[in-house]
Amino acid sequence: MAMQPAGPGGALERSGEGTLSDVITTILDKGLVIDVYARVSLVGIEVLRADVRVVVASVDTYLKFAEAANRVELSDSEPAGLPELVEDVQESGSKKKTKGALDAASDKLSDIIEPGEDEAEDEKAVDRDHGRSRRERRERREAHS
Amino acid sequence: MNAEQQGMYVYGVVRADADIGHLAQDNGDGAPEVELVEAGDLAALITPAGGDDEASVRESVLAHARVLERATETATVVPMRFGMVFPDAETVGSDLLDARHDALVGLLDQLEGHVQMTLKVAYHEEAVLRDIVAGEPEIARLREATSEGSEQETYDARVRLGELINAAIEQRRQRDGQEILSSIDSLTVATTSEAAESEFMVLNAPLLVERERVSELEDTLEQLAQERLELMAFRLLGPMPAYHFVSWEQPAWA
Repeated sequence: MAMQPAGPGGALERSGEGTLSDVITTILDKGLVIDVYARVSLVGIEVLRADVRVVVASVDTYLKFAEAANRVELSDSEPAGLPELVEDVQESGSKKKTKGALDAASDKLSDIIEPGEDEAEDEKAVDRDHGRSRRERRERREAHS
Repeated sequence: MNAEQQGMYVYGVVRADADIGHLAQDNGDGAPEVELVEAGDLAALITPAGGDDEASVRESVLAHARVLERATETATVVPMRFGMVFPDAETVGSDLLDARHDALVGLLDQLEGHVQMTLKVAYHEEAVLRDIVAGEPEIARLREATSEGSEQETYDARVRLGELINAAIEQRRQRDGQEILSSIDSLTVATTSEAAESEFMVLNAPLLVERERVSELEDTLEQLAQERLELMAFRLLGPMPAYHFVSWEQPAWA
């Protein structure tokens, strides 16, 4: 997908079209229309559209924020090496972040990307969930509800 | 594959003399073979329409983006919305290129030398939460108060804590997003804003940019990203056709 590593010391991640998620949110409902020839019967469009994540603040969101805040380690001097901490930390280094402090934030349509499609990009991957299959995601969602 | 039965899928419109020869070559990226239908000084990029099941549509979405992105490398393209299917090539010529000729030429003129770049900036979750807890005493207090006790006991305090965090993120989003946009203001012709794709998104901003200034924009954003490395992740997509800046009505930026 034309992903390019950022240049030397690059902080800006560059790509052409981005992930499938980026593509869908970019092109769905954008561009010129001639109504009579818009194929609204495309079953798949609705499936993709349904997967576009809408961010709505709710009590559920608040509770997840609270939980995330409680998990955050405030200072670097706090003892590291706790089992759950080790599990959570992706990699050390300034650019790496710990695994989803707010789980729901990564639960979006980028998951429908074919497994492995973004693997090569793992160094730069912003969303750790790209490689997760749709099925896994469903299971996860069910487990949450 | 019977094109007459399935119809002709239209990607977008270019000038008839546009340099898009490379689209006819298979460069192995899975983009479908593109045909041209011409009418006067305009031409449409078309291909026989695919199926309408989920897998086909997903494939078509990627093809739509790839074909238009490749065309944009060398030509000015007016993108059609995803899913436009005409009965046949002749109808594309008559009902699109001829019927909308003046509007299409007007758009091609306005878009000449411009491309869309889409900037997506998101907070690192941990970093922004740490920042918020450190900077807001009430949030720090509630965080302490909710660190122990049963779920039931702390429920109200946790809701309140989350609400305050939500507001604090929103406040930072406004401030930081504006700051970034005003830093690149002189490099963009127009800017729009799309809905956030996650709770931690700072900017989801399609930018209309002069082709010649894309690298300048990249350099400026690289610097902005460097300065904010600990707190945010910057992604820049494009060049792509001006998806977010075309309409049949005179666009506001023109």
